[in-house]
Amino acid sequence: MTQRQHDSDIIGDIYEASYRPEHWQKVLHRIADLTRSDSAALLYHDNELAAANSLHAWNLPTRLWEDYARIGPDPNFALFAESLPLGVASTAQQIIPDRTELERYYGETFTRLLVKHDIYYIGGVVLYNDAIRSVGVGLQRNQASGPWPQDAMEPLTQLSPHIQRALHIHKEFTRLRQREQALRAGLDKLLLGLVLFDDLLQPVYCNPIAESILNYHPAIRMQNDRLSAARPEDTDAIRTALYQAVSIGNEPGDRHTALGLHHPDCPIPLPMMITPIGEAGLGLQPGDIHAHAAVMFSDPEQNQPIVPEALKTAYGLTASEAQVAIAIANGLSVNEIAQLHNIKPATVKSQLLSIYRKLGISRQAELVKLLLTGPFRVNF
Amino acid sequence: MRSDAALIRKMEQLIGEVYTASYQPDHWRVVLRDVAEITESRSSVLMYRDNQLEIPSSTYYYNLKPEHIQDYLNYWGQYDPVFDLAARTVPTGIAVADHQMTPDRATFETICGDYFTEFMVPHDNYHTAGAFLFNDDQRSTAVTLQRGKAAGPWNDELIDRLTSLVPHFQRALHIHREFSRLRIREQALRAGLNQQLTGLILFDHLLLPVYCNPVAESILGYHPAISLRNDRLCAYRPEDTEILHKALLRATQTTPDDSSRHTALGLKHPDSFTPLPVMILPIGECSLHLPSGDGLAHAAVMFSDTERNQPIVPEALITAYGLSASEARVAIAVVNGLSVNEIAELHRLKSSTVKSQLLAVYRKLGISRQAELVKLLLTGPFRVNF
Repeated sequence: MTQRQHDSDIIGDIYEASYRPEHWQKVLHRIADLTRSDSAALLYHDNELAAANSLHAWNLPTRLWEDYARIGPDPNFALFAESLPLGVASTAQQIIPDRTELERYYGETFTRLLVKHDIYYIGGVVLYNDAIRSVGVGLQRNQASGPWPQDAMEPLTQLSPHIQRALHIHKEFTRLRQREQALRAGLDKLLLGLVLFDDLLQPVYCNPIAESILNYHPAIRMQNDRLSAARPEDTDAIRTALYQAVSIGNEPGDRHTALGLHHPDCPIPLPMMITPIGEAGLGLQPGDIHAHAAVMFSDPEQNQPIVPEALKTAYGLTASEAQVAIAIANGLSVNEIAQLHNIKPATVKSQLLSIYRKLGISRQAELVKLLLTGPFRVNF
Repeated sequence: MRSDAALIRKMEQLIGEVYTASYQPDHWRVVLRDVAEITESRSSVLMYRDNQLEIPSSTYYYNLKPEHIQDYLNYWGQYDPVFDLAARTVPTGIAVADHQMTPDRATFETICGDYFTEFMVPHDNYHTAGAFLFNDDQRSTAVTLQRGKAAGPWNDELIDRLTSLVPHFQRALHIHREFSRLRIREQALRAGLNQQLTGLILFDHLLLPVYCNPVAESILGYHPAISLRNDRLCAYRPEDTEILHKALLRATQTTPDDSSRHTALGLKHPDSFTPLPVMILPIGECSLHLPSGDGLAHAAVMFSDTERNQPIVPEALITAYGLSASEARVAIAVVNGLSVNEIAELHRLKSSTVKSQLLAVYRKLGISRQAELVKLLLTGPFRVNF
């Protein structure tokens, strides 16, 4: 019963590791104790992502991993995978009792690696071996410790379903986190300032443009996770709009608010839009019912980063035409551009006409629209 | 001795089921069935109560009638004296049966009052037990067990079985919450991207599309210069298709230098004056593998139909800048490429009227030229997709 109590604690530890990978080390320590091994390792090869290999180990030298990484496919893993069903733990000795034959199977490189690190006996279990991943737990004893007692691997067989499930949970987390990162990265590229607030009005995402505007623009800033405008009445309006956006009872149509934030130094009020976005379902925990609010804003006076090379490749503009087009999109007039580059307005005008021809348009306002709604206005 | 080993195996299996439920919430029903079995209970419930709002929400249950649950949620849950008694007297994580909380059954029934006679008795929830998994000012989460009168009270050993499961329930709910958090955040980020007016498709490292915003979907649907077929982007001209594919490959290669990996192109089609502009660029490399963490790149394909009218919210211009309704209309028309004369014609106005409206717009926005107006509205937050 005491032994078993031990087991049920270790089951908890295994699942702890499912979302906190650093916990595997503790799990491996306990597995080594339970199976009377000198050391233990978790080998994880992600077959979908090819590159992603990982190892967790207890009581094995780091140098061993450097050597191990160099040897290529692990013959011991192959031996276990060929000889035993998934989840059944064993020792190599049980599979090939004759030492010479076992070493022949391992091959020279692997045997040399074992000798070098004083690993004489290997046990373990293959947990997954499919298109998605190859995973196993390896246990080691040195020559002086001698072979494992009978049934020493039994506890590992018992724990295998739990380790498998924990790894599965881990994989699900990884998938979700990857997708989240991709979406974040997509939002990061956008040139409209965007801050997302959760239903408790805590900011959960702020893109780089929003961060920069919050930093330098006098009309708006973030203080203690709350948006504040220069004028108190604007700050109030922002708060009210945020509340409205996350109030689930209201009709979504009634829940968006447009504001112009004033500041004595700025001729153009800073435009801001607050809208409700995506409501998620409910779960078991507080805060599982979620509405979010998106706060979008921009600094109308900020120069727009348009990639000149893109205009060359996509539309066949020359370098100076691209320069003129971008200047027009940023609000300069033909005369201002001529002055800036020390050329005649007539030259700029003829460049502009050539741009119109290449883009199939006929007016400045159209050019501005084309560049500002296009994908070449981008944040690297 | 033999039955002990069988019981332990059963418990260990049940623990595993608890963790399956951590990422597959439907599995809580299976868990509750097994919990009822192992504690020899008729029924079981996993419930959650928001203590600030005093609202109970039973989330999963086994072997109770839906009307029983409804009855509880709609009415009795707010007056549950057993819950209140347990919340006051029983530490979190320890399972107790009703008879363990009061000196005798009569006291228990007295404390329960109407709740006993009008709710517990009619539903034959004569005996009840449970454990708090979490219990603080904000929320309580509990597993509860029920037995009918005929079954008699539980013995202590059965109740202890529930106690030994509690740490696993707690951890599983914690994992569950992490999953919900991630899923909810993913939804929020998606929703954020959904509102963007540049077409955007995200491809993963295997060049499969993982996200496509509504604008991209719509352009792919109607524009002859670009389409998505069997998860692959195709242009009208085969040579453009080839460039698209090469650019995607380059964008997902994990090399540290980002700058050389973006590609701009204009997709031509005989029916379109302006080539459709496309930008392909690498985005965020993820490193999330067990410990060592190898990179995973995604590619973003951005494109837009620059000839399309831009949806700008006129009410927003009215509230934010104090424009009149007709000024807002003129401003939006200018942004969408109409000239003063075209606008005048469209609305049967004199050109001079439109011109003076435009001047009022300039004055209110602090600008002086059409190009500036277009820039202001197109880079601003009122160009938005509801």
